[in-house]
Amino acid sequence: MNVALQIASTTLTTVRDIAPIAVVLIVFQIAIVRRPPANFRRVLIGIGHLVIGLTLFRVGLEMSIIPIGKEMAAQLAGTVLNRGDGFFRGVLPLCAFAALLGFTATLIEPSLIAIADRVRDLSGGTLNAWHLRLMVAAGLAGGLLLGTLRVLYGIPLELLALGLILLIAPMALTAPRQFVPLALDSGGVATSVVVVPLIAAFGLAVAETLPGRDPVKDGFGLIVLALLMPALTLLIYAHITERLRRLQQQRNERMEGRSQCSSSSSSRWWKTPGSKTSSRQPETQAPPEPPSSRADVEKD
Amino acid sequence: MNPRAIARLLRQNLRDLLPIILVIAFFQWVVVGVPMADAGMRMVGLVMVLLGLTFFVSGLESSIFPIGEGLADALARRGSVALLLSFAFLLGFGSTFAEPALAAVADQAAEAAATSGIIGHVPETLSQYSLMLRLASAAAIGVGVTIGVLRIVKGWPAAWFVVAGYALVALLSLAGTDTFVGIAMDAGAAATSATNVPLMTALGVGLATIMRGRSPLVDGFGVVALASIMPMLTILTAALFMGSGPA
Repeated sequence: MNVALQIASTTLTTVRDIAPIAVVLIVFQIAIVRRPPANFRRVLIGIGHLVIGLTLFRVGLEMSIIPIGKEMAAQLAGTVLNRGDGFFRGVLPLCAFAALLGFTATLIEPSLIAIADRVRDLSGGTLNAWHLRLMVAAGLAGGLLLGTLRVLYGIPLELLALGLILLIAPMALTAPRQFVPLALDSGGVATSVVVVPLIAAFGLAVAETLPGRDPVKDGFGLIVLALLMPALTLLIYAHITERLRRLQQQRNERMEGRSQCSSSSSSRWWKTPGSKTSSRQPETQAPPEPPSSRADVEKD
Repeated sequence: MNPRAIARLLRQNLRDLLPIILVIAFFQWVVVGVPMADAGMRMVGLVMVLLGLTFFVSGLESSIFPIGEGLADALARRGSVALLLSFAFLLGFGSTFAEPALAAVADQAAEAAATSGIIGHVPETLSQYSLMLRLASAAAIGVGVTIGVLRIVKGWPAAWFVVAGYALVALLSLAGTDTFVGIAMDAGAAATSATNVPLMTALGVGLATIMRGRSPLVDGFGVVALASIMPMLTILTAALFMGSGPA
């Protein structure tokens, strides 16, 4: 394989990929704003970085992670075939590989990195970018695991997608509002330049290796499961933190009542978390946990 | 960009890349048990991934985000909703049409359609089918971004739209044929890419920042989810009307 040739052809693909949107942006910039964007030099350098980075990234993936993932998937699916459907010796390694590959591949998804950083800045530091990415990665791992099980056992895609949608819908409607749009977007952000080609190669390799599987028919449907699962994990996280916050608040209210009986409430040295600060105003750090409440938990 | 910042970014990205290298090494060593073929080239590939990741993320943060948010700001100040919506549509369409991941899924889909006998197995028919699929997906993403922007302008909650969209997808997928359901859903998921996702986010966040009474974190997100649902709906609907053919 000629690396230089591949870099040249991928550069062409990337330029073609970015060209239409560059035209739209330039036309609107000229027609509406009527002057070059602020920091014009920086923006131009940034576009250069974008093209170089995306090209190097795609070529590098095609040379390393994608063929490795494909070979390993074929090998592990072959193990399932040779050793029979024994759970521990055949199915488990393939599923473990699927989940770990999905998890770790999400961590190098560039748009997720950039958007997680943006979310951290917008939230004033309350939302940790690394934690957000870890949760999305966990969801994607679950999605790839489900997809692998689907190919292995021939579960209909409609059933899985319908099940996930039925779980996501009520949670999205009831979760604390500030978290829902982000959670729903997370899957689309994660299924991008690394995850889509990697999953496609993975699914194809598994479907080709196993007998009675149609690579075309069974190869599809992995990406959509990877799209839906991160939304589910983030919504579950949102519900859990909300429940915990409410418990904490109730406990604080109880404590407040108690402390008002014994002494004046102005002697409290901690702040009641969440209740007084408006949700718009970002908190720079997590509210300090009152030490006495931890003692309560331990007593329970 | 100064060298120290680049070094810091490289270090961060190395941390991001390390887990996948460890997973691959573990499975190669423990499960497969033989040395990897072509290991030298693959190391070169990994180094390129690391460099590419660093450049790409820095490029996104210094070009796409400021341009997208700046344009959203300028358009919102102009106060013309029609102009804003047409920008949203063109942005969604333009950033999706040439996306390589979508092209790959569209080619696979054409192949699948040919094998199940819906279209003839001739190169021209295949490429035509693939092109149609890409156009439809890109237009659908354009509509998705437009609805997403209208939602931010009007202050409608994202969850209603996304849940309604998913409900429709679920209904249509129960009515459709197996292969097409997979194709439609994957086309939607594959159409959200490394270039259009940051743009859509920048547009949403920029709008929600400039508009009074909107919070960038609460109202700025949700465009990507809507955008990925629209191609699913479009292709599922088209499949329903075309019928499954002589499968």
